[in-house]
Amino acid sequence: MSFPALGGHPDLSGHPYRCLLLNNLTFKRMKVDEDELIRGSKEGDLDSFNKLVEIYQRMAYNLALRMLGDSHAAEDATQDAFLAAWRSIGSFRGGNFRAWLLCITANVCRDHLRKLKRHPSTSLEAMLLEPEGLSSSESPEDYVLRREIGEQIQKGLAILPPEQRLIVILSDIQGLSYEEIAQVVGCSLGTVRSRLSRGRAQLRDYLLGGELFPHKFRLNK
Amino acid sequence: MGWLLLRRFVKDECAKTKGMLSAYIDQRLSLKELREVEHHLETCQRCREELDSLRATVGLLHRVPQVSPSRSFAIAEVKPVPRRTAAWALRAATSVAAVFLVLVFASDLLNLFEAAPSLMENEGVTPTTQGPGGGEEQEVAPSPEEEGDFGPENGWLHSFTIKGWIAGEPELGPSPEEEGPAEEEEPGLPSGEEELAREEAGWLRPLEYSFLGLVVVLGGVTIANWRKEKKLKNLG
Repeated sequence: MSFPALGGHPDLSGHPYRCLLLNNLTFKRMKVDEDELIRGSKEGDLDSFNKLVEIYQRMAYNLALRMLGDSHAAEDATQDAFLAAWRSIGSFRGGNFRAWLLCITANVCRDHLRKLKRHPSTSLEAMLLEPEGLSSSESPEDYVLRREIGEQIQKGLAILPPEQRLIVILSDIQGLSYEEIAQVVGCSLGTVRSRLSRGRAQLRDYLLGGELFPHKFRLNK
Repeated sequence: MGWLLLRRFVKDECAKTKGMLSAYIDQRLSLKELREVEHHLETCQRCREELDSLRATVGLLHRVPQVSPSRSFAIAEVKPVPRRTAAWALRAATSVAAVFLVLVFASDLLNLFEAAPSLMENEGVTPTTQGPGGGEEQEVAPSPEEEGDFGPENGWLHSFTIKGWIAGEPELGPSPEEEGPAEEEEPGLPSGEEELAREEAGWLRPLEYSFLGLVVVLGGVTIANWRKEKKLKNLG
């Protein structure tokens, strides 16, 4: 048995924890590749940087989309973030590149939110975010539910203060650890914990009025 | 009373536990906090409901679909990073040149560069300005030749500004008593100060034109640079 992702690793066939080892090795290989791409980018190689863009653009775009609630604004913010990252890649001193990039994206989103506050044009909760299309393994009912969840959550996120919203998105939608969130936001672990707690509670209070929650939780039973 | 205190204590415990439920879900509590929360949850139905609703919220957040961007964000070309320091230096140079231009023009209008002979005159270097009072400082009325060279207005302005400022006692014009002897002393003599003034005026004009040219060129470059930056900013 060979592992195409690894170019066929003979020693892993029949190993009881091969999936775990495979994931671990894939992660290490990706990490090495990422380090090489970062090194190339720091030397001014735009192709290397664009490969990093390909890896992280979905994550950066989704953060901007959930923060701003508008696909056009999110595209602008993501593009600005990658431009800013390219211009300041020389100042990246190693460490967690994903956190560094998300930190830049979060800063760009804050700037956009400030502009929106000064010149309000669209409401954060007014837009409808179209999720990816119906996949082959998904029933139409599941697709509709997924879409409804996205809409309701977006409306709930829009009522949170931006800093709480950012931490809830990073933690529960992007799946970052507390340590990574602290790096992105530039605050202590205690602050991450308390903001996440308040954000989740406020979002829960909003969602209690909707139909997504199980019946026993709803306010209008 | 005791019942009220007990209720207050339970309420405080609930508030404390509710603040830790989010971290409890993420398993980010210390061992001591974990024991406290678990102990409280065993006895408090409301906090258990709170925990369930928070878990449901987190579960929904985990199910939020990821949206694919409709385009790539790869950088197509390397835009030159605008050098703010260079732009500021250009603006500063333009400002300095403009200030110098204004100063040179003002000096020319006020004939400041022709003041050197008067200074010498005040120090008693040239004998032509000395009146009948010997070494005493006297105002000299402009002779016809002088008027022809500097013009009556320039001559008056010259004598008023330079002499008045230097002597510390501005004089509005020559007194009738002083006019007579001065006119008698130098009737139409081409004085040395005039020649010096003419020499100085000779280099003043090119200086003015040089500054003017410098300001025009620097100003043009600064405006072009500013418009380019603005355009890039709007595009970005």
